[in-house]
Amino acid sequence: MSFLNHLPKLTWLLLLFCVALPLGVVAEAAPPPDVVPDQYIVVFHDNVPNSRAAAQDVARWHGLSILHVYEHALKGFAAKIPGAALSALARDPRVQFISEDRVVVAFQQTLPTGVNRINAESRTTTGAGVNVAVLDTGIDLSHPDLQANILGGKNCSTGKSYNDGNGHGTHVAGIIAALNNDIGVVGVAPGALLWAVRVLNNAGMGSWSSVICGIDFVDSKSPVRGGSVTVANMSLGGSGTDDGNCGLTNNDALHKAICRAVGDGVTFVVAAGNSGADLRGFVPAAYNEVIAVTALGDSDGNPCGTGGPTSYSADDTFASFSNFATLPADESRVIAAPGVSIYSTYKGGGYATLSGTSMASPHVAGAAALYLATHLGTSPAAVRDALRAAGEPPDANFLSECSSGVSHTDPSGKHSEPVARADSL
Amino acid sequence: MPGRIVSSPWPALLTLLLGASICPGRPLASADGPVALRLEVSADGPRYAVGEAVRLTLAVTNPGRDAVSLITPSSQHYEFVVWKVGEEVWRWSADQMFLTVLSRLTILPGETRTFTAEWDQRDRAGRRVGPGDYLVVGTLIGGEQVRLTPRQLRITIR
Repeated sequence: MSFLNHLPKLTWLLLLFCVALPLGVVAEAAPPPDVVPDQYIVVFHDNVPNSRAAAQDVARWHGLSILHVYEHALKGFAAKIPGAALSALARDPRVQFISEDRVVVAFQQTLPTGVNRINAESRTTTGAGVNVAVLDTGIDLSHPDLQANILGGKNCSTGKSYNDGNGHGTHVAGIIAALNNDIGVVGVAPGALLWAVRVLNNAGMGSWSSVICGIDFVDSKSPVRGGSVTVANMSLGGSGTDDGNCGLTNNDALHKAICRAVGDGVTFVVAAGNSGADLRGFVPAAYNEVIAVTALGDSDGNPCGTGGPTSYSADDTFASFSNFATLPADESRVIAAPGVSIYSTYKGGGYATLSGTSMASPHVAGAAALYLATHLGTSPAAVRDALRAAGEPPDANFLSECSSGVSHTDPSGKHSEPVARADSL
Repeated sequence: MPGRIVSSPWPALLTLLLGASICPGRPLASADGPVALRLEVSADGPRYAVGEAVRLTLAVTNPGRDAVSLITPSSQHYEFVVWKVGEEVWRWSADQMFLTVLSRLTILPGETRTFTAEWDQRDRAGRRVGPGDYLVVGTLIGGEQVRLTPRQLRITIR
């Protein structure tokens, strides 16, 4: 049975709002269940010169305890008001109307379009137990949609912990493994376990040495070294090239470190970059040992190009900002995933919508976790090949899912890579 | 004594050189009207001993009445490049890594934002540079969206 069968697909609603129900007189009928007993919002006429003074005057006169005073968006106050005082208060000439104070809290889990687009929700497995390292700005360690999946971490950047001061790392982590619960979002592999490896600072920048520190940590947790980290996501990059020799020819320590970690059993999934250019000048995406992920624009979570346009492409076509591969060696290790307007977890326990190959990469990292959960011990190269083999080929009606047309298209002519699909892994 | 700001703008070719590697495939945003931000590049001194750290500052001021936003292809919002006799010697971002997320930098009316970097007088290969005059160019990534011209500063290493 699918782990998300019971999920409502339309729902993302986060309302925490006091709703004012206008009251000419106090309602006689039984109050709705969300009404806060004996708590009201008193709204003054706009011509009341000083709502704070008026509120204090009214409170003194009626013996009320004020909860909030409103002075800008409206004039008035909220207070606990016993029924006996309500009628008298309603007759005060300064009072325009009185509302019951109500709380509407609707927490429901949404299925993000990206997770839907790669059909991760159709999987019977959740990536349970697969360890994924997120080399980024850290992860919000107390985020209710992530906390239970965070195993530990390492801080290689500024600050004293691997908590996320930027938000990006938390967003990436949520795409991979946000919990399948009744709040927020669900990730591609909600059963996967996360390592927060903070390599960039709160401004989203960091030195190569910091990033290498993170890779060093990941390798210390690799299968060959007795650890359990089998996937690493890097939604970051900088200028550089692949020397085809693990950095030994061009003295690239970052490349050497990644080669070692890959050799020790860690599948590296990285962002292709957002310069609309050949990824050969952008590392780590340029390294032949990694899976580089380009960005697909998808607006509705479904294939076939039937949704509206995204900010950077038509539906189910590649994002205009996405880097791409031209060298045969690069084309054979690239895969695409949704990367435009992706909704996921964010710092401070929140949620945000972001765009970039940063968002595409963790969809594939999550898919790798799904695959590894049922294919223990698979080498990084074999994981890469399996992900590509299970993806949507270009200009194909994948699984005959489109009544007319194809699953995705590439009007730019720059993207021959498959689009990640978890349902056929 | 702070470094001197050279008032003449760089030619368009330099703008292209600075922007070529980071510009996305299509404009990510645009702004109508004339240049809306003022750039100033400064250093903590016009003359330096060989090997002495050069601390650079790019100050970006919005003198207008409207907020100005630039969208960049990564979390990199600024760049410093050091030139000598028309040859690029050092580029700040070459030693950095950035998030691959589309990012927005907003400068409010009247606001000045400063961005700093430190050049250790080593070239791209990590070799210490010799005495002479060097040109420092500072700019905002995505500046072409509001037709910004990078600014330059001359420093001397003795």
